[in-house]
Amino acid sequence: MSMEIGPSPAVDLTTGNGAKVPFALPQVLLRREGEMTRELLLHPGDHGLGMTHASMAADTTTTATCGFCATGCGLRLHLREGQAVGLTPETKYPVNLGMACPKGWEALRVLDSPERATTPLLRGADGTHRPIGWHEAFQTFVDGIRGVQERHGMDSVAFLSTGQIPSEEMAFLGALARFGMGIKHGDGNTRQCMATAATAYKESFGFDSPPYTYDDFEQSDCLVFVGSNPCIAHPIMWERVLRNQNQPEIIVIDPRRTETAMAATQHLQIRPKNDLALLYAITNYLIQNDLVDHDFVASNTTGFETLQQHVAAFDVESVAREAGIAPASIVRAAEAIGKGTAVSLWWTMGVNQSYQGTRTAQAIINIALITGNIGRPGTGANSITGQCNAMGSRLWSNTTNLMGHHRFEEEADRRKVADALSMDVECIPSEGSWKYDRIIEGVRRGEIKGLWVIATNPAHSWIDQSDVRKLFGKLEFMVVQDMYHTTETARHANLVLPSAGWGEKEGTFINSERRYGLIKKVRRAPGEALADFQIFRGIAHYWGVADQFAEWTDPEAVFRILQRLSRDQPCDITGIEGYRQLDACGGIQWPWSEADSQQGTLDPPQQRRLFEDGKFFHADGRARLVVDDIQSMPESPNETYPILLLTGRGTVSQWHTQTRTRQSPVLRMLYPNEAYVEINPVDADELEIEHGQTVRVQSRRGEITVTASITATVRRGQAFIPMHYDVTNRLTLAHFDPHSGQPSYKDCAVRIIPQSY
Amino acid sequence: MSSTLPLETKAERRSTSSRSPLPFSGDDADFDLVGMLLEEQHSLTAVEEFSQAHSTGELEPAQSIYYRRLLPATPPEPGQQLAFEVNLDSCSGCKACVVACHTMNGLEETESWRKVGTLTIGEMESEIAVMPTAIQVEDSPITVASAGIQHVTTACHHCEDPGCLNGCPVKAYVKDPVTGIVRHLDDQCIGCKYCTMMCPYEVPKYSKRLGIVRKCDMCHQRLKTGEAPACVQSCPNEAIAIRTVDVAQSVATQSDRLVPEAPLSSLTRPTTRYVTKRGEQLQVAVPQDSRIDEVAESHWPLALMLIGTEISVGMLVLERLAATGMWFGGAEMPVEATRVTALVSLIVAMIGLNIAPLHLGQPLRAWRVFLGLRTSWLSREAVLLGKFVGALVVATGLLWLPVISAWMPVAVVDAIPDWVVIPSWAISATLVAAIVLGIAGLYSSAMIYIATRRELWRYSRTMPRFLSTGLIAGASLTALAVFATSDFKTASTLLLLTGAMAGAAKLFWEMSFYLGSPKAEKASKPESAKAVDFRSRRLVTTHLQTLSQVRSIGGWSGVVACMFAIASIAFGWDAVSVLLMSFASVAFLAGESSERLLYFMSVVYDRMPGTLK
Repeated sequence: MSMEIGPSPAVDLTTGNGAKVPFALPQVLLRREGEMTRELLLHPGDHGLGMTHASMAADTTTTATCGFCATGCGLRLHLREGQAVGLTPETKYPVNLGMACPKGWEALRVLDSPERATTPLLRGADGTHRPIGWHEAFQTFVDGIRGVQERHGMDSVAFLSTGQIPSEEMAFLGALARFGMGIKHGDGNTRQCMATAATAYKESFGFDSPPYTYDDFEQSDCLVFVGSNPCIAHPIMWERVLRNQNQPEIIVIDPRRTETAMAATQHLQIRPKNDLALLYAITNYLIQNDLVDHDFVASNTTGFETLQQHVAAFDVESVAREAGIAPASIVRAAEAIGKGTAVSLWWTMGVNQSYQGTRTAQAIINIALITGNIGRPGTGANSITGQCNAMGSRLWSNTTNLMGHHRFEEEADRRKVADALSMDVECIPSEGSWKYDRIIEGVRRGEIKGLWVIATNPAHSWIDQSDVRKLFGKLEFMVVQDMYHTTETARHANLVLPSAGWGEKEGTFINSERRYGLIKKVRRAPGEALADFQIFRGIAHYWGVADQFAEWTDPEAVFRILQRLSRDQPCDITGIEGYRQLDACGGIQWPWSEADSQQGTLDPPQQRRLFEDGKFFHADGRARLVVDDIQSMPESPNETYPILLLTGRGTVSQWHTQTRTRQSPVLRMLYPNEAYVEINPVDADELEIEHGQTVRVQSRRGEITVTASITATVRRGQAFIPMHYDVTNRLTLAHFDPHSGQPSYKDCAVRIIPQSY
Repeated sequence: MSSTLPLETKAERRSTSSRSPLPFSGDDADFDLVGMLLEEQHSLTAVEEFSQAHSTGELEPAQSIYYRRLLPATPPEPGQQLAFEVNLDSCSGCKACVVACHTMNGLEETESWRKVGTLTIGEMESEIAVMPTAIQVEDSPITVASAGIQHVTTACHHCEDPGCLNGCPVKAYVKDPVTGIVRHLDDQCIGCKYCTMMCPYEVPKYSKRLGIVRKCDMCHQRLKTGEAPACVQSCPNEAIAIRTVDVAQSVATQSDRLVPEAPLSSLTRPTTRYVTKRGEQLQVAVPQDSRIDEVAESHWPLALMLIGTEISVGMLVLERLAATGMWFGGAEMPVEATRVTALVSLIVAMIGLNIAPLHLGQPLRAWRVFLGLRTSWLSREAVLLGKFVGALVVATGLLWLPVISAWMPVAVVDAIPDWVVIPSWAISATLVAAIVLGIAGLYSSAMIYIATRRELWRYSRTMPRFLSTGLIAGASLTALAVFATSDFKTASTLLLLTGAMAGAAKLFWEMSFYLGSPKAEKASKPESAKAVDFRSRRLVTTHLQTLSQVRSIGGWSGVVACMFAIASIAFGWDAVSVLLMSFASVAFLAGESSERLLYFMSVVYDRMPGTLK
């Protein structure tokens, strides 16, 4: 068989020359054709689609960025009379190269659901929601928020936003709430996924700047994944890893033996929360064995001596003993990192969702810096992002930092932003918002009385969920703006505003590798649902600040505002010509400044990385090597609660709290519909638990009933429950990284009891 | 991207028809803000404002740049066929293949011809389980841990000896002579679902909407244009390929399976090849859904049809046996008894056979059922039972002819020419013919399920069940018919005794392997040979508890009622006897029907790996 790739002509593989034609019964006896056969007929697809089923036949196609995770795949929408009738992954999009995961394939399907909110809903005295018109909804919104502000002070209203809406909407929300409505506190659910990475980058590099491009997956000769399971969480990134032709060393640091660990060449299956010590031990080994790029360290970093002294205490032997792994395995990993020519280090939620996540991320950054693995193809200390627009949220949400990564505290920044927005500088507050956890705490203390939740589901996803649900009961006015009226959070709302979703509106997402990608309006939103953008326009009007937002007419107009705001920042995008260029180029990575664009007439190169010149974003151009003391877990397992509970992503087909993915019948077939807990076989035997049996999992905060899945992929004394089930966060312990405020979801003590019948 | 559309210049404003600035205040009474927002929301703009990535006339599929090397360069030669090849080491479990198959083939909401299951690697039993320590460091490039996870994607295996094809009564399956692809003719299918039992891999899936099954055809239409199947072109890791394989490669050993706990490959000789460097690890892997069983489909119309035809044949057989016995005793079975027995037998058979089509999704196509006679036991059953009913109708007609003619107007009787005589042996001959055809039909019925080679439906478990029903429920009914129409009480007593003994024996037999308490087995860990028995019994004692109670109570009530009826006959209480015999018949009917429902619903079998539900 031929293994050649190339433009060899398509060959009919079904017609042979040698085969005898068998006797065929007449059609009346053997019906080879007919209505049912025709139902599955495929037709030549045109537009490069190949053989296509009639249901997907297209007049034309266009590409949009996927709206689930931050991989940011390009999806080819099949359009008929302007409306999307189906999709296939875009072959030439530089991110996904013609592939998509099941969520992407079903991106349109989840829009059609009886659970969609189609009109605004108002909770009546009897506690039920009744449909109302938009006029009444806007008026209720304004009266409700203003009422709380008048009764309890301007700072008594907060908003919780998301990483799921486009940058333009994110900016509109931030500007409207903080500059227009005087709402002081607001934060996004990106606090739950990317805050740690952002905080770590900011301190180490001087700016929240993931340096890589996906091509690095293919260029490395050693890839290190820390708390990261791309096979399940980012399967299209894993596709890129498999395209690596260097037969790379793949090192996975993870307490569970995940799919990614299975595919790795080295798996350090450490006890949970030994990651920071392990990384320090590796750093120590690198320094002691002179596997350090001294030139790079000397000219581009500060803090090496402190680092050297700090990590000296982390010898391989004792760290290995604590972590429950062989000392030689640390040595072997350190050697691979130290001697690799293009080493990239990647991390995801195993690091970010930890009470010492920021320092752990920085320990990864330190390793990249001291080995000079940054700014070259196949290198970098690379945070893999969670949500489709987590980076848009970090850059544009205008919450804890002033939009475009400016500082509220700096007057010059405030003035620059005010000028770019053509707004009065007085409307810009001089301090940032509370973080998410503080806002929730504010509700408990009675400081926050009104809450506006946009496209996120804290009643499911926030840590120690029962507590949060109780707190929502204390609010005087709560608005939930969402595609679905059935989310756990919407059920708490006084007012539900129905949103249009991905595919029903325009805007840009920024993916993990800093790529602005476009989403498009190819479906009509159901009923009276409006794009969040339109809702914000309506609110601006009813609040009486329409003149302040006169320029904010449509997403692309706001994109031009964002461009102005980005000027001279590391994330400068002033060189982008507009949506059409984003579309034609397959997305554009930041930075792309006017200066960049004027250097030639060509479109921006598709794979660009940061720090090629070794210059970082601190004033002195040097990266910081940051170290800290190790903290112990606040709730270690003990005799009463002997098992450490880990949470995380369960399957590719489930997205976060499942508000969207559960709307697709085919996705629902691809994952266990009932919550389950993974238990080690030896533990299960001691607890007399059988595979498939119902068990009760109890923590100090709650109890849940789930199915036991017995698997040796988790080690003894540990258990794993996917985060997608609404019960999981009833168990988790509310504790946070002190620097980033990110919840630490992956360490709480539980006990497991077989369900007695 | 490929398109080279001219970029919009900055000076050029985009169409702003639907993008108007808001008026500055909310006071403008004429201004309908909400209407404007909704109108803007409902205008679709992607087509007018954005490039279309591909120009029309681009017929070569864009994806071909990726899948070329995943296809053979030429069609198979004689002696070869196309087959799926799955690289397990590349499969990371994303399941894009499942959704791509669903989407690109235009299938129903929850229909996909691919499925991905999960294997857990690592010991399940405590005595052997070692704590999965961190990787032992070695010099080898690949470190192997004691535990792990492996996803297995599976579709139709386009077997060399396809069970679906062999079982189909209407030849709705074709094994393509060139490609070896097992294709299903959707417009030929009668929706009998027999292929879902014959295929060990659960490949054909029934569609309620269409009333037929559908299955993977390896995207035959795509391969015809040189395009890769949906699953092949959608796998991000290039883990699925189409390869040319030599056919008639003998299956290495009888115990070969594609993956752990999958069906024996010797059953149908699947052509899919699973390639892995982790073969040894996978040998000891366990499917995530291992031993987690669900109640199977009840096939209730089939169950009732089987019970009906079995009782019908059983009555005829018992009546003839009784007649023979009486003949040896010097007596003769009164024609009234034979007449009523035959009529009841016919009615029962007709009820059964008329319920059966409820099982078919496309009953109007079922007349082609004879097409599969050469390979399908279902065809044979259908044809034989059809002939059985035919013979029985004739026999019954002949038996009742004197009765009918007595009511016939004289003119009609006179009109029949004298040479029309019914020979005296005709009744016996047609009755015997009906019995022979009936038994052959029942044998075919049983073979339908035995042929699936599901362990729980093996010969020794199926044949006694199918053949005994007629003896048990048939006995009480025949006894009733004989009792009501003649004075030969011994015949009825003997028949009732037969029924009671057969009924009790069958119940004891069933108790030995699935009815009754499983206490003895609870502690024992099921090993492969006994495993399916254990799993089936567990289903019966948990999910199917009510049904198994009906089975026991019905059966035992029938037995007891028979015994009481015998006593009652001895005492000469005719009315009580009739009542008891009727009750026994109803009880047996309920018992036997639930026996058959249990037979279908408690079946478990080897399957490809699945996941937790």
